[in-house]
Amino acid sequence: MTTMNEFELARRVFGEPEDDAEARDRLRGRLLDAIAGEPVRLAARRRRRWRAAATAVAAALTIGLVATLVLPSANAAAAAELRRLGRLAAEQRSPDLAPGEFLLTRTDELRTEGNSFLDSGVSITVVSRVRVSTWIAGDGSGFRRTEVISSDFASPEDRRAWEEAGRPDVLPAAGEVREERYAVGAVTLFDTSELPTDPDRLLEALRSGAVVERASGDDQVFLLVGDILAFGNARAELRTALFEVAAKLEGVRLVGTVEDPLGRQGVAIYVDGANARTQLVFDPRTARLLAIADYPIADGAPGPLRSWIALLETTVVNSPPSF
Amino acid sequence: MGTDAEIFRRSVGDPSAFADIFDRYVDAVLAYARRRLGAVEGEEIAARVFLIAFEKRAKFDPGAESAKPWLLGIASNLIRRKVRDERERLASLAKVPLPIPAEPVDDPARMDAERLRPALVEALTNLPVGEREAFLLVALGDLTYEETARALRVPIGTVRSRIHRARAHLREHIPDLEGIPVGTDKTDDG
Repeated sequence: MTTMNEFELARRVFGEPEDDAEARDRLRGRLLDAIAGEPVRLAARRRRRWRAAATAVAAALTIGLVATLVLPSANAAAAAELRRLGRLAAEQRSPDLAPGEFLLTRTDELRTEGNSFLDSGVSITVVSRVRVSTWIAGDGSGFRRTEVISSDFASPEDRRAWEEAGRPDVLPAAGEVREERYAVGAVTLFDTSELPTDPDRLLEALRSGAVVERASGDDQVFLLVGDILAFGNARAELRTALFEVAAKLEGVRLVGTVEDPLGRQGVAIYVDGANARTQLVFDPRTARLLAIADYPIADGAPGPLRSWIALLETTVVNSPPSF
Repeated sequence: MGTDAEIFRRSVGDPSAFADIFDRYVDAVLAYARRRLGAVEGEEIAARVFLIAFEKRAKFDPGAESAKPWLLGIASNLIRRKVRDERERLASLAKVPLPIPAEPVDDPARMDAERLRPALVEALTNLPVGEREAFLLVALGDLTYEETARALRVPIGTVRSRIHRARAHLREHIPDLEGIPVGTDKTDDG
């Protein structure tokens, strides 16, 4: 004989469900994909309704209304996801560097570099895979070590141009290492302590070039947001403000779930510029930036992935590198 | 963030607002679907529940207090069409022992559940669909009778009688089962 009733017995037999954060992420990804596709469907559906109503309305007036009322805000899904990530980012611990400590960030990167020779007019594009380690001290000074993992020509045409140009030294050798030191204030981007956490003021600061000189445009602001998040030394309030800044950008769009260049699943958001698309991929559970990807844009459409930065690790260490 | 009804209303014009509904109920929907169909099929059902709810968000009852009954109702409808998967899930529940707790505990209820498991599964398998759905929404979905009525879109009296019959059937086929007398369970809020 048991003291359980039927409900309790059923709960016991069917088992207590385990918490499954990965399943939640997969489900969230599928929903975000649907949400991201919704503005297009919504607009199409509403356009069909408008077409029926248009017979009763003067054509010119209808066109005006369709333009101003029918098309929903395409960046709403991206903005909502960025704000959710911003809330998550606020929960993450801020790096607190004691004197003598460094914030070490390791990245894998794919770099595409053009080499033009003015005398011959020859242009050779090279693609390199590199591993970059960056040490940042509390005062903003730092070190950087760049190791070439592999390199190749971007296309058979580039290889041919290189051969015809007499095989100039443009291809970085695998294993080649470059070590650099940065004095205090040498790289403005490292010092985020002065950046405002009010999103409007922060957006203004990023647009003004006060943080780093860049071409104007929302895609450049978005890239800057990614760069600052990538270095990992932004305090929690600043990280949240950076997500809010990104959410305010008119051209921000949600892709949905993707695999980053290292095969990790994340949520992708992009902004298109005149010639390139900047896409940031975030861990949907922690809001940690996983990757920054760059696609060329030609004739209004993005081409194949051109370069990327994948964040491997950010950690506090108590000594600088030996170089 | 607002009530569920407010979020649904907002999500009609701003689809991204629907993510808040997902955040509120993903655990409940996933847990229910997985208990019913297992990890893989359950996750697929949970995904479809949210996609369907998103598509039909304009039809959410603005007077409803919580979206949970509506979402579990969608899950229930989808599961009902997965007869073979559910039969397989029940068959595996009958065969595979309950998971052993990480720490050894003196839990007589667990031992009872282990002993009564095959009889419960067989009894559930033989229940009429309507009765099984109502019973499992209460037992595994943690819905009240009133919420179950909303989930299944039937009057609350129908839910009461279905669950009454389900419980009577289970007791008849699980002779050792004794506990709170049928009809006086605290879950019956009507």
